[in-house]
Amino acid sequence: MEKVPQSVIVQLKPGSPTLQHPDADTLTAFAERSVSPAQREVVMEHLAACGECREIVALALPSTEPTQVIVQPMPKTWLTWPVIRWGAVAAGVLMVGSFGIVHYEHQHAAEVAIAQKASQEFSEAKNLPLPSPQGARNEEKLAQQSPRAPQRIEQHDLKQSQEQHQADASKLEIATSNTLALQQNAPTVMRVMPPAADKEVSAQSAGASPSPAPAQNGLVSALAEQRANSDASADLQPESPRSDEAYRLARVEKSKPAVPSSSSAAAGSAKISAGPMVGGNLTQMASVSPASVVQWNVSSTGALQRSFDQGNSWQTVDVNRSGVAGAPAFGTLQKKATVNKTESAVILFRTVTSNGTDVWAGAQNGILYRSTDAGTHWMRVVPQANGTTLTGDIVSLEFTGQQGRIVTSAPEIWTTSDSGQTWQK
Amino acid sequence: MTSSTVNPAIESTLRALLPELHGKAGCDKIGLTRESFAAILIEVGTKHAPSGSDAELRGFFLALRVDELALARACAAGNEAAWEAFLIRFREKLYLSALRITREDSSAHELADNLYADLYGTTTREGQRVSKLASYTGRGSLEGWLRTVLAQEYVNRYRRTKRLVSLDEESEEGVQFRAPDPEPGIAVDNRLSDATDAALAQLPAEDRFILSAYYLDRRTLAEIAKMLGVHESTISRKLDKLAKLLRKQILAALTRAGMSRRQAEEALEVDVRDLPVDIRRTLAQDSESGTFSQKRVGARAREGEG
Repeated sequence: MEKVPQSVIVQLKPGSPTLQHPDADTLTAFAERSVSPAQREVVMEHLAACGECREIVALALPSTEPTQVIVQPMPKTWLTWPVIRWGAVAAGVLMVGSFGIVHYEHQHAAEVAIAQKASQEFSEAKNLPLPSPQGARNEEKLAQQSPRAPQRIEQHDLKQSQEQHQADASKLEIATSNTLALQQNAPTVMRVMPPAADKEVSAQSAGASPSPAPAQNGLVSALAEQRANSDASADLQPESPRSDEAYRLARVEKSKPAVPSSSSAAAGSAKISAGPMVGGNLTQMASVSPASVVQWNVSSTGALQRSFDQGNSWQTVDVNRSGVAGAPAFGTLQKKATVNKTESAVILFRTVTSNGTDVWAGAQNGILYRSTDAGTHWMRVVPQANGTTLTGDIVSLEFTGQQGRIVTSAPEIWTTSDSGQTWQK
Repeated sequence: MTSSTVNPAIESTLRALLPELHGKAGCDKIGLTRESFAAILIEVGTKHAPSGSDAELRGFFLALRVDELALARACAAGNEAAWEAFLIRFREKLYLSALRITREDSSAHELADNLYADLYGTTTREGQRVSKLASYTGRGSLEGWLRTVLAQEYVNRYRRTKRLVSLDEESEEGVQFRAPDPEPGIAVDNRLSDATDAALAQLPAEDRFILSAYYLDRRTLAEIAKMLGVHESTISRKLDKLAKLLRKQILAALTRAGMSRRQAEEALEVDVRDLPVDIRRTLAQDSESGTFSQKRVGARAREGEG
C-alpha cells in the first residue's frame, strides 16, 4: 500500500480548540450508524480533527466478533445474492461444458477426417474406388478380399497415424523443450499444461463412458498403445524416433501431474475422482476455464508466442498492437508518455509466465508486460522501488495470485505482493 | 405532549406511535408511566429527530431502542425494579468492557465501579438525583453507550493522571529535549506545507478521519473499518487511493508554485523534521504521545526563555 507523503502526516491538523466534543450518546449512535447523514457529517468532521474522540470511539468498539458491521435487512425477494451467485456458477458450468463438448467434437471430427484422408490416399495409391463415408467398411471388405491388403491398410494407416503423431510429437517436443528450457528460469510455464491436459481429459470424457479418474491415465495408455502398435511394425520405420517420441510424450504426460498444483485448474482436477459421472465431469469443466487452454512461449528470436491448440500452432503476439496506448500502467510508473514512445521498438522477450488469464512477459532492458485477458490487451509495467527502476534483462518470472518475483540478469530479485502495483527489491 | 413548545410534527407522530412504542418498551414492568415515557420521547425527538417528512419522523422513532431507553431513564429516576433489571443485564458486561479498555483487572474494577456510581446517581444537583443514564437517548444501543462512557472516563482519567507528572521528574529521567526551532528571520520554504494544507482541505471529512486514524493514531485497518462500519479492504483501498491522490495534488501545487518536477519530488521525500513546521503545535493531539510531546514543547520553550 502506498504511503502518503510525510508532509501530509505533519499537516493533519486538529480542529479549533473551541470545537465541542460530541457526547457519548452521539458517539455511540455514530459508531452504530444510527445518526442522520447530516449529523454523521458533523461528527465525522469533528473526529477528523480530534484525536481524543477518535480514541474514545476506538476504545468503545465491541469485541472482535465478526458480526460487527451494521447492515440493513435484505428485502425478501427471489433475486438475492445467493441466487445470483449460484446462477452465475450454473451459467459458467454450462458455458464450459458447451466449450468442452464442442472441443471434443472438433477433435473427434479431426480424427475422423484424418482416417478418411488416410483411407482416401490409400485408395488412390492402390487405384481403389474413392472412399465413401463408409470408407472403413470398404477397407474391411478389401481386407477380406486380399490377405495382403489388411497388412497394407494397417501399414498405411499406421504410417499416416505415425506421421500425424510424429507431427504432433515433434510439436510437442518443441513445446516440451521450450518448456524445459524455460523451466530452469520460469517453472510456472509448466502450469499451463495441466489445465490443457485436464481440459482434454474432461472433453474426451464428456461424451464417453470411462470414469474421470482413469481418463487421464487412459489418455496415456491410449497413446502408449498407439506407440506400441506403431512399434509393432518395426520393419517399416526405425524404432528409435518413435520410442523417443513415446518417451518424450510419456515424460510430458507423466510430468503433468508433478507440476505444482498451485493453479486453480490443477486444484480443480483434484476433484476428478469425486462425484457422479456426469456431475463429476461438469465439475471438472467448471474448474477449467476456456482461457486455460492458452499456452505461452518465447521463441529463440525473442518473440512472444501463444497457442490455443496445445502447442500445435503458435501465433506471435505483438504487445504494442493490443491496445497498450492509453491503458493504465501498474507500479509507480510516472512517465506514461515516454513509455508509449519506446514501445514502437522491437522487444526481445526472455521469459513468459501465466496463471489462467493473467500473463506476465519479461524482456531485455527491464521491459515487463502484463495481460489480464490471456494476451488480448497488454499493459506495460515498470517496477520501481526506492526510487530505482528495474533495468536489467528479465530472465525469470514467477507469479502466484498477487505474489510475484522477477529475477534479472544483474542479478537482482524484485518481488511484489499486490500484482505489480508496488515492488520491493 | 401538551407543551406549546413541542414541534407539532413530532407531537402528532408520537401520538400515533405511542401505544406501539410503549408496549415495545415494556414500561409497565419497570414502573414507567405512559405520560413519563411520552415526555422522554418528546425530549429525544426534539433534540435529535430529523426535520423532514412525517415518514422520516416515524422512521426515527421506530428505530429508537425504546426498551433500553425506558430502562435507562427508569434507572436514572431511581426505580429499583429498573436497577435490578439493569444489573442483571449489564453489570458483568460493564466490567468486561472496562477490562477490555484498561487491560488490567484492578483498573477495570475501579473504572467499572466508578461508572456504576455515576450511573446510579450518587451525586445530586439542586436536590435532584443526577445520573449519566439520563443522557442516553436510545439512538444507539445501551451496551454501546456504556462502552463509550467507560472509554470517555478512561481517557479523561488517564489525561488527568498524565498532567500530574512534573517536568522535573522527566528531566531527572533524562528526557531529551529537541533543538529549538530556527529563528523566524531565516527565509524558509513553506510551499510544501501550503500545498499539503490545500490538498488536505479538499478532502472530505471521512478521508481525513481515515488518514488521521491510520497515520496519527496508528490504528489498524481492522479497527478503522470497525469504527466506520465497513470492510477492512475498503479502508486499505481508500488509503492507497488517498496516498496517490495527495501525492499527485501536492506535486501539481508545488510545480505551480515554481518548483521543477524533480524539486517537487525531492521535496516530498525530505524528512519533515527539517522543515520549520512546529509539528507538536500543529498536531496538538491529546492522545498519550501528544500529551507528553506537548509538555516537551512547553519545557523547551521555558528552557529557551530561561
